[in-house]
Amino acid sequence: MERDRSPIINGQPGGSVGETNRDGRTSILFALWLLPLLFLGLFYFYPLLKITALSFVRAEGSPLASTLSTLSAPRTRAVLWFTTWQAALSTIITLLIGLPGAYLFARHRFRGKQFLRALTSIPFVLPTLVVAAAFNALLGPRGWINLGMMALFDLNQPPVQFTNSIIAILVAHVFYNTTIVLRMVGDFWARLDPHLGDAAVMLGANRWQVLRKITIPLLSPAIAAAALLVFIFDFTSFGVILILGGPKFATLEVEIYYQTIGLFNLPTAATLAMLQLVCTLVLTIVYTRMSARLSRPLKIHSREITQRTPTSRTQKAAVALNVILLVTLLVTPLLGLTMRSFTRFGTAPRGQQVEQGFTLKNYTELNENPQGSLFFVTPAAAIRNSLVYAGATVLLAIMIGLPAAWALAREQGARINRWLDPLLMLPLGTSAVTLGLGFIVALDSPPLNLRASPVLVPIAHTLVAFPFVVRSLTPALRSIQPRLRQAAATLGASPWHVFLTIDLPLIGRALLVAGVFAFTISMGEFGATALVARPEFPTIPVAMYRFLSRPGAINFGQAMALSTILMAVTAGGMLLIERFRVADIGEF
Amino acid sequence: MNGLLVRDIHKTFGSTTALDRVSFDLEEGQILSVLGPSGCGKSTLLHIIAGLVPPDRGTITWQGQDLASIPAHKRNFGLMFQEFALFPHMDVSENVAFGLRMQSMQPAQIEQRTREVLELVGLSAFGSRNVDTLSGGERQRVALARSLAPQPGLLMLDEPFGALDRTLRERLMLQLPEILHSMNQTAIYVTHDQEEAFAVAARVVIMHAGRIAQVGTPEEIYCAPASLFVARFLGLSNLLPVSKPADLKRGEVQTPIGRFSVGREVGEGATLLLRPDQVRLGGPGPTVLEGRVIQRSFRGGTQRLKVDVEGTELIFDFMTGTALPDPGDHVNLSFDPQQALQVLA
Repeated sequence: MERDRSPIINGQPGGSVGETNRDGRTSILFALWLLPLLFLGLFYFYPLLKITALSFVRAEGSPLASTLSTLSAPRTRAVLWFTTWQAALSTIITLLIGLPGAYLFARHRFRGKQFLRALTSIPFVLPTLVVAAAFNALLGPRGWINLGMMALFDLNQPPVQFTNSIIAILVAHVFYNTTIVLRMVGDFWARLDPHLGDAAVMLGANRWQVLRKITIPLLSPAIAAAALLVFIFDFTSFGVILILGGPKFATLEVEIYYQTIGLFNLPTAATLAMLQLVCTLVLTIVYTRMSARLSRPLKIHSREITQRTPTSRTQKAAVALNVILLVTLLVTPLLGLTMRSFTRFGTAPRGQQVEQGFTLKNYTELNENPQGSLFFVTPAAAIRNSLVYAGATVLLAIMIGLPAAWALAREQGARINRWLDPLLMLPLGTSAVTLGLGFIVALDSPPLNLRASPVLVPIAHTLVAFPFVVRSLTPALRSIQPRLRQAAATLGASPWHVFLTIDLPLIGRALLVAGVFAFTISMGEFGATALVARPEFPTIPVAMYRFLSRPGAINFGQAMALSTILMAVTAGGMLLIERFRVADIGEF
Repeated sequence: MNGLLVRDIHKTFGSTTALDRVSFDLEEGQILSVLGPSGCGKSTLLHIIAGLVPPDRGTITWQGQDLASIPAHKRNFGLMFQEFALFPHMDVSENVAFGLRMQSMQPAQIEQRTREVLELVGLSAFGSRNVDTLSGGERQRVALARSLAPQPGLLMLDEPFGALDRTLRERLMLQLPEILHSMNQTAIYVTHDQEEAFAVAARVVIMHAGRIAQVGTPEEIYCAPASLFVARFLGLSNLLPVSKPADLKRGEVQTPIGRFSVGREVGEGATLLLRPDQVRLGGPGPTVLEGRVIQRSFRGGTQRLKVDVEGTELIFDFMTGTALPDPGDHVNLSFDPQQALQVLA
């Protein structure tokens, strides 16, 4: 008896049994990995390889020479320089506005805080096109500010030149990414032991010394990680630059798009994509290192004890000022967008009379083709396309993501997992435009001729959504420990009950979150879609881009309406995710 | 007076009253324990004395000076936090030296003082250790060294042993008063554990729901608890409700287990405490109870009997070595009412 029990007590099965078990487990792991790896290989690594080949191998001269000439061209250097400094400047401004906000959320309790928190999280999940449209609605030539000033001073031309300026780019980037600082730094800050500051005060430190010697050093990993993430997003910015910056400004991302779509200069686009890929990969690796440092063993404290209700008049004033600033920056553009979608001002292109003021026509006419143009695709059709693509993306992303997440959750220490885990995150560090370009250069000739196929869009969206899906599924699958099942069984649950009451709710929630992630990402994706979507099957963002680049009040109004719909869908999806998410927030 | 004078402190958070007219004194060089269940306002009291939280009403005077206008970082008080609040981005020496650096002391002096204090708490070799790598007891001693280094006028300790295991706590409970006395340190020691409070301080303040329930030496409090709450909090059992039937003689009380003479008038709703450790086995004695043993348990230095007397369960403690009856046996218990009985309001 004694001998038989010992292996169970030690938690390790006996020698020979263990060997076969481990082999069995490894083969299950391989089986789980098969589909995700096949998919990544075909639609991620193969296109990237083709881009690499294309950027090095050209028709004439030595292969490297032409690559080098592209890289050393003044135009390339100017684009790289612009990409870098606008990202750096955007990041600095974002930090300056986000850090006081982070402090506000971390250390204060005030009425409406939860609501403000939810509100400030919306910009981050909005598709870039919606952000661009929102600022257009507020500050563009047809935006509220200009409309108001034109009416007030009886002007014929919009007085505020906001679009096509560097200011527009910076403001949109700050709007977009302030949430990252609020969340990453704010969440970290909220869990810092407030007694550390009090302890320093008791040892004779004044407020300034506490900030300099205690708070900032402790926050620095969170600040650095947030800043780097913001920089990565600004560095690879696409939609904002394309729409708000206008033709004068080009980041690497925009330049790749121009070279591909405008000039059809694929080799140059490929070389630029390689450059971009190297930059983002380096940045992503540094970011991953940094965010790992965030989890250093600081004691986690419940928010209850770390937050105070402001009491003195100065405290209240500071909180109020902060709230006003955040609402102005983050909420007015969205409000302006929504209101603008219910109004029409100005004229149509051919000078027809357009109804002025409040109207529902931007929505009711979504299904009409006013010019009777043959190639015109109605906005309603774009919405249908987006919904179909998003549905396909959800199915595909979960089909590919679930086995990968399962493999990761089963054997955390397995060597194969340690190698593959970072590999899965690579698409996250690859720009969407690069993915799109890869599809164009790799999937347009046999054996894989998908260029004419609308299937490319959900595949591209699945690649973008894949890391998010895996990240939200893995922790949930990990949380289902055999202990839980055993506990349920000892409490009298039959295996069927165990599945129903333990496994299903845990996986179900995670699947819901992953699915909503995939859905919202697909609905809003623009960079890759702009390159691979068939002209006759545009998505909502693609249709919006078309409307925004055409003149006239009707086009503008319909872009606003589409944008508002997209905003509602993504914001709603994000709120759902917040509600059901298993893992902690702050990990993007 | 030269020490700490706390007068009439009042503090509310929203609709809850955290402190209600709290007053006490503490002479310099003395240690005072503040004892009470969690949520009784002890931590708030410390934070108000420290200057981290302003009181709604009341004054605090230290060495004759009103502290109202002096901010926390200029009071030169030390506060050791419940979970130590060691700075995680500094090593042990840097933690201990923090207060000295805030005083703009010379680097050489800082180094010397840091070494002295670390030696005092027995951590000389730990200076360059990362605080993450320390055990609970070591962290506690670093926190103590850090609070002692700037030589605070008053040191406050908030549940300093709360996070430690029992054996370590008992060892440190003996060391701490030694260290504090050797430096003639004035200190307030806050805890919810009566053993700690009694072991560390010569005087104890018991708090209940924001008010002071009793002040006294450990002996005074243990032998004469001022209220039912104090008796319950100290874990004293055999608390008997008192009633007053018409035929009661003067100076007597009626309880579920019989009538006893307590030598004074007692109001309705009072409670009679029969001290568990003041009872002898067998008669005859001044007062005798008869009962049946329900349970017998061994508790180290003492043994405990649970006895059914007239349908009421009573608990009595005897020195280990006393021969005790078995469960089910009939027992006679005698006691001196003067010593064993006490009326609680």
